[in-house]
Amino acid sequence: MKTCAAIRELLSAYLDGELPQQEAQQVSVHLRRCTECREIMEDFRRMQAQIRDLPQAEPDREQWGNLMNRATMRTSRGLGWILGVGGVALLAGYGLYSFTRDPSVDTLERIGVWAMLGGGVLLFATVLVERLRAHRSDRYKDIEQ
Amino acid sequence: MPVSDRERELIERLDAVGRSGFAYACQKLRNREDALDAVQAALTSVWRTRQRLDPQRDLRGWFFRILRNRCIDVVRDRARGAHQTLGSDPVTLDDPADGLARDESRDQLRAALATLTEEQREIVLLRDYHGLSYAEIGRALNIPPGTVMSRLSRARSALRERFLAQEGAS
Repeated sequence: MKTCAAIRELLSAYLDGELPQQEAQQVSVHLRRCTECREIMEDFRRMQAQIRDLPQAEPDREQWGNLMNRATMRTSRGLGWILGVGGVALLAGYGLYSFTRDPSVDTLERIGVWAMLGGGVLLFATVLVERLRAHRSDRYKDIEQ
Repeated sequence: MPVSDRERELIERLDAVGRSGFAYACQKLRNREDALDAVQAALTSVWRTRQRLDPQRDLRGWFFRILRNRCIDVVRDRARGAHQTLGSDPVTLDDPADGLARDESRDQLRAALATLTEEQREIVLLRDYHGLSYAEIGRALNIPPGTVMSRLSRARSALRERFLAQEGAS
């Protein structure tokens, strides 16, 4: 048979219906014969009921409607980015292709353009590596993605 | 793009959990605008994972975990001075300016809640005010269910002690 001290540690979970059946039964039997533990239980019930009745901060109706619409947008911004960046990449690729095929462009111009292109790719690669490292050390990544 | 039944149901659930989360964020951040921003970020994160989410099982726990992390980030930014310290419209559970009829017992309970540690107050409110199950609280706070049980038990005992002291003092 459990002591009052042991039972009191279970009262909170008993209140919430989170105890296994056998322990819940033990608490129930104990409460029938122990006035002090019963008083604690009643106080827990009273506090829980009052906390449930506390007023709740409500968002402004219009603000809330806008917020819900933004949060549950079905066309993701990701798709917009993919289309936008894809279009720019396509045009840039076509421009580069035309440029390299153009016999009127001299060598210095070719070198300049390829240097710009190489620099851009290098910068993109360094940013990508940084992002990947940051992602690996992000402790919230599992729940925010 | 048509909304599927599953998505419609999820939006309804998100609406309910988001409103509850707004009250939570107001209590944490004491600023309605910051609370709205945090809730929107948390709802957006949950919405993005909707294909993998089981709304019956995971929704509230995950939502509160993300929201709590957002609130922690805002509080951390404030400490660094990157964010305003307090807004002009603080709304908290223990703020008497809720515009509703006063009740002595409720005031005593608010006062008792205010004397708890942040950890104790949070777990009591997640359970009794926001109605999360132990499993959901465990997910929200990233602690095992056994720890939820013991922490909540200690918090309620502390609250009872302070509440009875408040009642005795009046």
